[in-house]
Amino acid sequence: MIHLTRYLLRHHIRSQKYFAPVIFYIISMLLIYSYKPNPIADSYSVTAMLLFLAAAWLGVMVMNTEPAKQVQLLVLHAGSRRKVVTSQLICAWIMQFMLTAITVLYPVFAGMFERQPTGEEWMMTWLGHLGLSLLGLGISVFFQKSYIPLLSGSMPALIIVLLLSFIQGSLSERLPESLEWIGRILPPAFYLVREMMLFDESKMNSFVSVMLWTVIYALGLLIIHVWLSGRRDLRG
Amino acid sequence: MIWSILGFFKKSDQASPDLSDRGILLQQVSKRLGHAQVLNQINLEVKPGECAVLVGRNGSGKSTLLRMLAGILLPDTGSIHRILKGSERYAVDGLPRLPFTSGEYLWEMGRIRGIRPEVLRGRIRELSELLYLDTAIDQKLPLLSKGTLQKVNLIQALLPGPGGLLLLDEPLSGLDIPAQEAVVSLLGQWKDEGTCIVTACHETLLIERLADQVIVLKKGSVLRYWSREDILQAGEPVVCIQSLAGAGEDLANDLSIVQQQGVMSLVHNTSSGISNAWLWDWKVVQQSTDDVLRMILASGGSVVSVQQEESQLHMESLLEGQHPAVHTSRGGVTESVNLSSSMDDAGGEAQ
Repeated sequence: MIHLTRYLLRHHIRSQKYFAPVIFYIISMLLIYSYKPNPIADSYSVTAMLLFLAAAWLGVMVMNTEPAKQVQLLVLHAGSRRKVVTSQLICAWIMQFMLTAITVLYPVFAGMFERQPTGEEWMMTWLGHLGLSLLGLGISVFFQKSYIPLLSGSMPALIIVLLLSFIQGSLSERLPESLEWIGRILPPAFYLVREMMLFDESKMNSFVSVMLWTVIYALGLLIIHVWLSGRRDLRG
Repeated sequence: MIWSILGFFKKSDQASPDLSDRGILLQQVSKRLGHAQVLNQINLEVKPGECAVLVGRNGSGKSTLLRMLAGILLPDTGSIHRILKGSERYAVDGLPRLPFTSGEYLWEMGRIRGIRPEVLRGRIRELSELLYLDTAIDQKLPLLSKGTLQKVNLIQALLPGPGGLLLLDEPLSGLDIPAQEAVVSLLGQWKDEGTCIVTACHETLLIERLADQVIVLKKGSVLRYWSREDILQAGEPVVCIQSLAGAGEDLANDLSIVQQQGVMSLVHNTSSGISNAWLWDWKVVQQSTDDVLRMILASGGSVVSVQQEESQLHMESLLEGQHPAVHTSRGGVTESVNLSSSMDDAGGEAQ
C-alpha cells in the first residue's frame, strides 16, 4: 500500500488539483496574521475553522484525481477496492497534515503571537486542527464523483453541509423539539471551534471530550465510506 | 524476441495449467446501469488456457461484461465463480492520459502490483521491445499517439506475466501490424501456459488464431456461442474484384449477373472519380473467380483489380449472429445486393 499511496500522492501533486484549496487556505491564513500581536486561542480557532473548509475541499480534489478507468486499473493492480480507497484517504491526510503543520508552526516561528504558547495550548492547537481536518475529510469523501458524478452537484451540497455544521449551535436552539436531532447529527465542527476559542487550561476535559467526539464522528464517516466502497460498483 | 520473453516470464511466474483451476464461470448474470439493462442473463465458462472472444456492436455489453469479470461491477442477479490461480489483469478501452511518462507509469503500476524492482525492470524492457515502444517509453502519456498509448495500456496488463485471468478490451485497436502480430503471438503462448483470456475484439487475426469460443452479444444478451470448430469451418476464401462498366449500366439489377454462381455481392462504388464509367466492387467465392472474370470481360467491362481477402472470417456475419463463414453485405453503399444464403443453423443458440 506504500507504493499505491506514493503513486496517488505523486499523481495528485502533478495534476495540480490541490492548488485552489491550498492557495485559498494559505492566503486566508496570511490575512489573519496580517498584523501582530495576535491572541493565541482566537487566532488558532479561526485558522482551524478555515482548515476545516480547506480540508473538505482538498479531500474532494484528492478523491477525484484519478480518472474512472485508472481507478479500475488500480483496484486490479492493488488487488482490492478497499486498499485503493484507504490509500486515497492516507494521501489526503498527508496533504492535510502538511497544511496543519504550516498552520500551527507559522505564527509561532514568525512571531505573530503576543507570547509563546503553553504546553496545553500546543496540544489544543495540534489536536484541534488535526481533528477538524479529519472531520473535513470524513465529510468530503461522500461528495466525490463515485457518489455524486457532477462537481456542479457535489460542491454546492458540500458547502451547505459545511455551513450547517458551523451554525449547528444556533440552529439547535431555534429548531422545534421534534427536529432537534438534526442539530445533533450534524458534524460537530462548531463545538470544537468553540472549545478552541474559549480554551482555558482548567477546561481541558471539556475540550478533550469534544475532540474525541469529533474524531469518532470523522472515523465513523471514513469507516462507512471504506465499507461501502467494497460493496458498490466502481465509478465507470 | 517473443521466445526470450517467454523464457523470462517462465522463470518468475506461475505458468503451467493446473487441473485444480476450473476457470471462470458466469451463471445467469444480469446488470442494470441506470435505466438500461446492459447485461441480461449471461452464461459463460472460460477454462484456464482458453480464450473467449466477445463480439458485438457498440453498446452490446462487451465492455460491461469485461468489467463484471474484473470485479469492477457487481452483478444484480446471477453468480460469478472464479476458481483460478493468479490475479486479474485488465487492459481498458482507452488508457487515461495521466501526467507520467510511459516508463514512470508502467513502473508505478508494476510496483503497486507487487512485482520486485529487478523483475519489473526486465519486464518493462522486454515488453517495450516486443511492442516497439522505442523512445515513447520516455514520453509523457498525454503526448502519445492513440496506438502508442494502447501499447502502454497492453504492457501494464501484461506486466504480471502468464497465468490468471487476462481481460482485454479491444487490445489490437490502433496498433500497427507488427505490434498486432507480436501481441497475438504472445497471447497464444500465454494461453498455452494456462492463462485464461477474455477479450472484446473485432480483429479477425485474433479470433482466427486464438479464439476457443466466440460469444456474440446483442443488446446485453448472448445471441450466439461459436466454438473453435465453428471458427475453423469458416468458408472458402473470398476474392474481391473491382471492374469498370459503362456509365448507367446497372449491373446490380441484371439478374443474369447477380445470379451467376459464386457471386456473393455486387456494389456500385461511388467513390471513384471516373465520369464515363462506373466502378463495381464484387465479392466472389474463390473457385468462381475465373468464371466471373470471364463474364465481366465478355460483357464489355474491364477488370481493375483482383485481390483475395486475407481473412476467411466475416465479422459482419458474426455480428449478426450468423455463421462466420456466411458472407453478407451491409448498407451504406449504393445499390448493394446481398446474395448470401443462410448458414446460421450451425453453432450454439444462446441458452
